[in-house]
Amino acid sequence: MNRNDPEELLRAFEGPQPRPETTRAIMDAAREAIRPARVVSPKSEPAGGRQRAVSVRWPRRVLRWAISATAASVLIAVAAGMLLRTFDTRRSGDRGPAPHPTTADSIATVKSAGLRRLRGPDLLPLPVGAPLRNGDQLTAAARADIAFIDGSTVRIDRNARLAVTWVQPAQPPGIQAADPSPASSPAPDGRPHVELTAGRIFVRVPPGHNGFTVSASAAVRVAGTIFGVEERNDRTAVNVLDGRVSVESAGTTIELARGESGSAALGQPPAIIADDPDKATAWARDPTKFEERPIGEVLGWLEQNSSYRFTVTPESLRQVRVNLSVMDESMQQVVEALSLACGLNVAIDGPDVAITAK
Amino acid sequence: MEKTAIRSITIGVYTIEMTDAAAESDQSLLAAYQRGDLAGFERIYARYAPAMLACAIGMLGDRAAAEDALQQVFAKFIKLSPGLPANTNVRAYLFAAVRNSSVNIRRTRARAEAASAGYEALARPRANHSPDADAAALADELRRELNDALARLGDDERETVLLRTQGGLTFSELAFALGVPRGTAVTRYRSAITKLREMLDHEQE
Repeated sequence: MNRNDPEELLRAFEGPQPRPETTRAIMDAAREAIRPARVVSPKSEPAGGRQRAVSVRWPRRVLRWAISATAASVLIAVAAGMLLRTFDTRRSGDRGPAPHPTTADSIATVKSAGLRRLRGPDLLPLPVGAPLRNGDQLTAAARADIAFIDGSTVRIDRNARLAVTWVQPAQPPGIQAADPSPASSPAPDGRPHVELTAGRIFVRVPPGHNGFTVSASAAVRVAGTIFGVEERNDRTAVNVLDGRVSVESAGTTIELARGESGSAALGQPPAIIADDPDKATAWARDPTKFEERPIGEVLGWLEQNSSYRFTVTPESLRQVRVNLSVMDESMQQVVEALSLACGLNVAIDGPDVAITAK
Repeated sequence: MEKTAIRSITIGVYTIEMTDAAAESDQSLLAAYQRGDLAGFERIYARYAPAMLACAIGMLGDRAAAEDALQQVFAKFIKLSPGLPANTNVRAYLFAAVRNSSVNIRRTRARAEAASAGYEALARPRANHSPDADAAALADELRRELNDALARLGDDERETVLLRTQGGLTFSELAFALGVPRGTAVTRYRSAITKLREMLDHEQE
């Protein structure tokens, strides 16, 4: 035997057959999951008991008319199909087939480069503007953004792995909502769902949305607008910058409000943790620079990107101009830096920040 | 495992039919299952379950935990299958899932427990055969040596080698399953194979 080729040797052996009880349990589940292909409604029997066979004899003239009408319909359909095809070809012109045709079943769009989609045997780089479909499995070679059709955006950290789906509105609430069956085509009143296998995502959900769910070790259901989720070492961490987010694990649900963080290990109930959401989601922020800008503009940006809320007294102070450069600092560091930069009194009380004149 | 008989190799007295589970065939089986045909699922299971179990055993060092991982993976696959797109790469999905499930299980239990376990990932020669007693003993010895050598690899290397050789994943699929760039997957695999070769050479001496 050739011991010099471990690859060949390894391929020459195979793993054990699963135990019969494992196979039985899996097969039972598979059988259980199959929906009946055809629903047979019980026939109502006539009062007399056995159903009487009824045969209908159509007049020859009617039959001939029916056959002609069917043939004409088929011809019209074929002609229409060819016409549409020609029209479609003309529209695409000489450009050839688009690499990522936009189709009706697109549930999201790639907004920045860096994403890869597992398609067939390959990981295909996805260009900006490429549509994503139900069940697409993605990995990020660099930080990347996608936008769902409801306007929700997801920033995906480098090396994160996830699958995107669109959940039909009929999904019942509760734990099923966090582990949904994806829809075959996106219903407009459905909602996005992300299955996060590893890494970090940062989600912004627009007002008036139908919901947004994330499943990782714990399930995350969103009633809020801005939050981050990290799946690492079998533990899901959720950081809420705005709105409300419920985290569900092991049959227990907790609600997180703005400025709160929660965590759940696989199979363990979730708990609120003393984690700074701004710091935890700092990776998702773009470096920003303000040069001689009114402090009101800076505070607006801070409110969008952190859990802080600012009150300024008097309001005219919003016109004070400041210089500020933000790279990957925590928002607390930014607010503290702002207090030095603006020469005003800045009092931080949890997520509430009061700015007053000195 | 289903045989599509792409090629065959001979090791000792065994002629081994190398099988290559074709992606399009997987997709047709998935489509059949989505239409309510249980046979589609049964064939996917028969095709991949032993290799998936080998990978899980290699990662967990524990047969019972590996069976749990296998069950978890298929339970999820069954749940998601109605909505999976027609061109889903079933093989990549299943092996990435078994890797994730194994990693999850490995992290939740005591390290000491894992360290004391063996790694009998490889159970038998792959092909149909009727070897004589001497050849069977030789193959069994080789299998033990391979299992021992696998056990001496690092966790990352062992899972890489098993996913590639047992799961038949391409390097791109391997990279996806491991969550690393393709180049890293290739390097890790080559490094592991080199180590295995050295170990087997050493055994021979």
